[in-house]
Amino acid sequence: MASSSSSSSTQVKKITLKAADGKHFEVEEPVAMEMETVKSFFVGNEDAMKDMVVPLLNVSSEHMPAILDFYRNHSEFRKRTPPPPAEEVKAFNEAFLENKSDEQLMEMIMAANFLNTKELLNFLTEAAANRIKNKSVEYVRAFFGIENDFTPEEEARIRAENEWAFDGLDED
Amino acid sequence: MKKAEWSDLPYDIVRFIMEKLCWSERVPLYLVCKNWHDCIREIKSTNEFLPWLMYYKGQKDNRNICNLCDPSTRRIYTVKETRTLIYKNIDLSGAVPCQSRFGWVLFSKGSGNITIKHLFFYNPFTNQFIELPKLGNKYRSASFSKIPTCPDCMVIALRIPKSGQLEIKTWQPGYDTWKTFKFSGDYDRDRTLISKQVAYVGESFYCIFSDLNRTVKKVGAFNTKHQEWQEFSGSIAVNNEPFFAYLSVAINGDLLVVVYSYIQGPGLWRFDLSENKWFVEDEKIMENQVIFIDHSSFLNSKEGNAKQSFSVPAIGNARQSAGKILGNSLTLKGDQFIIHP
Repeated sequence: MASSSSSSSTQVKKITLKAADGKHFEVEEPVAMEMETVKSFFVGNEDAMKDMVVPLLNVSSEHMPAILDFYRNHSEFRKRTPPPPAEEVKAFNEAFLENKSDEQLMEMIMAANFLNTKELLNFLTEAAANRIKNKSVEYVRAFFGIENDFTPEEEARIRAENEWAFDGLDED
Repeated sequence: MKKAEWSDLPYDIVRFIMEKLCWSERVPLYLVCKNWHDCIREIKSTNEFLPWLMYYKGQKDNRNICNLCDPSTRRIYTVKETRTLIYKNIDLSGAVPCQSRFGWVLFSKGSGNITIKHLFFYNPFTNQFIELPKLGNKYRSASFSKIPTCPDCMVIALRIPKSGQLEIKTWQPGYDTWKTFKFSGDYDRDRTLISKQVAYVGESFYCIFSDLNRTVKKVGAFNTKHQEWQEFSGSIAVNNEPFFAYLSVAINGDLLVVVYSYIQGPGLWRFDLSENKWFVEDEKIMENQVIFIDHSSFLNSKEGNAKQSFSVPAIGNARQSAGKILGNSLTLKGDQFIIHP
């Protein structure tokens, strides 16, 4: 019932986003509005004009094209009738993650968190979970850059309580 | 913008990532650091409904290697390979599970897997044991209501000591003896069978009584609050053909009985607890649940009834198994044995 606000204009309105390192991105309005952070910049803010530049302090320009690509494709998937086959969505998601290093993944999670978009955050955190699944504790600590703050006694106690669960984890 | 580190991730995000893992994948991550330990403990799984399968490996009379199988990941874990003494000189070998809830298993020891002489609790996830006082006599069925460390928990054991009498023993945490109740009624020492499964619904334990042809004759209920016994007549008949009845609790809170005959396969009956009547059910009732049956009874048809039977709602990770009746076999290798459909 909604979503026909811009049907009269022939040209899709664009919103300019500014990444943390100052680079500008022109984004179609519906795509920009996928990001709650951008949306809240305009909604309830009478003074904000649609031609204002929205600063995104925590998102590096390196990741903007990929993130925008995700929004464009996924909003298209959602609108399509009949819905796209699961394989098509899966293929896009897999291609999206391909060649992304752990560090890039982490930076995108931070970006998705800042942009406040559930779908992207959900997708990226699941990808992170898959990367640490069945890995040893040492691997996970190294992956996240976390220091072990347990005393040997505490560690032994937790291990004993859940001994069965430490079987057969991958070393790397 | 400064270079970000994973360790800068907000607590919420770490938790979000952890929630994407299933429970057995999260537990090893307790050890990452104190923050994570607390974070993981806080996660209440709202998506995990498939029960874990527990089984024993080892030599014939020494099945003391306890394995756990997480059906979500199909991984098998070994609990401990050493013999743990749990009751005087008795270990887990030869023990038979009577009931499992909340990660705890009520085990019995007796003769030939049929009668119950000693009962004890074992939690395979934490390797904890709870000993119960000696029962004194041989009992037929046993069950429990709540987490056994909770003072409200009640353990129940039933038998027919002589014709015309039903004996119920109950135990609660903190007591060093069993309470005994005797109820007179139409029980035949040699001809009345009490179901091996005793279901707990509301505040009552339920069991079903059948005759030697395994025809269900009545339902009995022991109210844990008022410590009263009540009986409901009404039988289930399946064409005079011998069958097995597996009692569990349906997700709507009624009693659900899977009757299984070799010729006809499984059939479903529901005992409506508000009307106290049996109803034949079609497959519809199964759309929302998955039923598990201890398959070992199939291998031991002489002694009939299954050790355990229960149903789980077909939601979350159990959705894929909706409508199925699953059994585990003694030689389980991470596989479930599908009885139906």
